[in-house]
Amino acid sequence: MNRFSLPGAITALLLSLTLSQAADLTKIDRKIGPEPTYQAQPKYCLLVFGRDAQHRVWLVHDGDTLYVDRNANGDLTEPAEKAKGGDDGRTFEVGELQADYRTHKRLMVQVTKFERLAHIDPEAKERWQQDANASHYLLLIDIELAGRTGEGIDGRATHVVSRDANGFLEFGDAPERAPVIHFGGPWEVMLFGRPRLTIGRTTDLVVGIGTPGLGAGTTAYVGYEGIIPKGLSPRADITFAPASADQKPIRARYDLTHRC
Amino acid sequence: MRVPEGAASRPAIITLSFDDWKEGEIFPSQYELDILTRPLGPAPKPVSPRLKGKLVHPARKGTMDGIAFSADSNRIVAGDYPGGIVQFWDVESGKELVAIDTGYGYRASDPFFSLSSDWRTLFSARRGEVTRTAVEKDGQRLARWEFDGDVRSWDVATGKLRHTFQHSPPRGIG
Repeated sequence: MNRFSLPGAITALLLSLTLSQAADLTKIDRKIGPEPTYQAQPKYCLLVFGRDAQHRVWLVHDGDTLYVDRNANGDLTEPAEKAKGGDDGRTFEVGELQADYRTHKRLMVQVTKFERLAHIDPEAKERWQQDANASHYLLLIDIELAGRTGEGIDGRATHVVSRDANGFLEFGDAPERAPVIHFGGPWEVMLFGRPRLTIGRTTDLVVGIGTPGLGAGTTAYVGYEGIIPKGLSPRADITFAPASADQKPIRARYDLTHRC
Repeated sequence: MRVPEGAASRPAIITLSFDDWKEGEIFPSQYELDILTRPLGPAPKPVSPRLKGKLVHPARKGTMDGIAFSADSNRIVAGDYPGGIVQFWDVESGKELVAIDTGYGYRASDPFFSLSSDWRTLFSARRGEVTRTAVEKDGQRLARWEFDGDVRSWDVATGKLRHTFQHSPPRGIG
C-alpha cells in the first residue's frame, strides 16, 4: 500500500519536480564509521551540510539513546556523541555539532509514536494503522549559514524538519534506507504538508522556504522571521483540468500574503 | 484557495515561485496534486410533519447547555455556553418568559447553571480574578494562588439578581 496516498475515493498522486540545481542526494556516500553496540533496533538518519552536501553527520536512534556524530568524522563511538532522552524519554537535547567548517547549535530531536498523533491528524492515524510501532521524528536546529542571518542563536537560521508534501519524517532501519536531510543547500519555495484539494471547497495552501532532502518529511524548512523581508510573498499558479473536454484548463493565481 | 466547480477530478499542476524576493535566490517548485470529488453527504430529509414549533434562543453563537423541562412540563430552559444567557420559555405558547444573563465565561461545571427544585431560583458560578503571589520562606520559594470567583442567584420570575455568594477572604492554594 502506498503510505502517501490520500484517503478518499480518489487516490492522490503527488509529484514534486525540483527545479533548483540541488545536490543529487541519491549519490551521497552512506558509509558509516565505527558504531556502538546498540541495545535495540537502531534507526538511522543522515544530515548533510553545505551547498554540495559534502559534509555528513549520522544520527542513530537506539531506544532511549541518540547517537550524533557531532564532529562529522563518521565515528559514533566517541563518548560525547551519546545523548540520553529527557524525562519524557523521547526528547533529545543534543546541542552543538560541527559540520561544513561551521558550528550549528541547539539540535533537538523528538520522537513520537504515530499512535499519540492519531487522534489529531488523519495522516498520522493512517500511518499508525499501517505500523503500530512506527515513530515520527522532529528535528530543530540553528544552522550557521554564510550570508544569511536568522533569529536563532547568534544570527543562526532556525530550521525545522518534521513533515512535508511527501509525508512524515521517519528514520530508516539501515544506513542505506536512512532519510537524508540537507542543511545549507539551495532554498526552494515548497508546499508545507499536503493540501487536500476537493472540487467546490476552500483549502489553505501553506508553503515554506527550505531545502528538499531525500525521503518523506526530509525538507529542512527555515524559520522566516528575520530572514524573509516583510511585505514580500510567494505566489502559487494553479492549472486545473476542465470538467469537460471542450473547455479550456482553468488557471488561478494566488499571492500567499498571510504569514502563519 | 478554492477549487473551482468546473474543475475535473484529474491532477492539477501547482507552481510555487517567489519572484518578489530576488535577493533570496529562491527556486520555484512544481507539484502535481490529484483533485478529489466532493463526497456526497447524507440526503436531506424533510422536517417531520409532527414539528409543533421552534424556540429560538437569543444567543445564536454558543452551544446549547442544560436544556430541561420543569417538573410540571410547562416551562423549558436552555443556556448558551460560554455566552451565559439562560432563556426560559412557556412550552405551550412558545412565549419567551425571561432571559437571564449570567455573564460570559468558561466554567468548570456542566451545565453552567442550576435551578432550585421549584424553579424559582437560578444559580450560576462566575470565575473571578486568579491572583498569583510569590513568597519566600526559609529560603524556599513558594507561590500562592487566590481565586475570588463567586456564585450568584437570580429570581426566575423577574430575572433580577438576588444574591452573590463569595468566600471571604478568597480561597487560596499554596
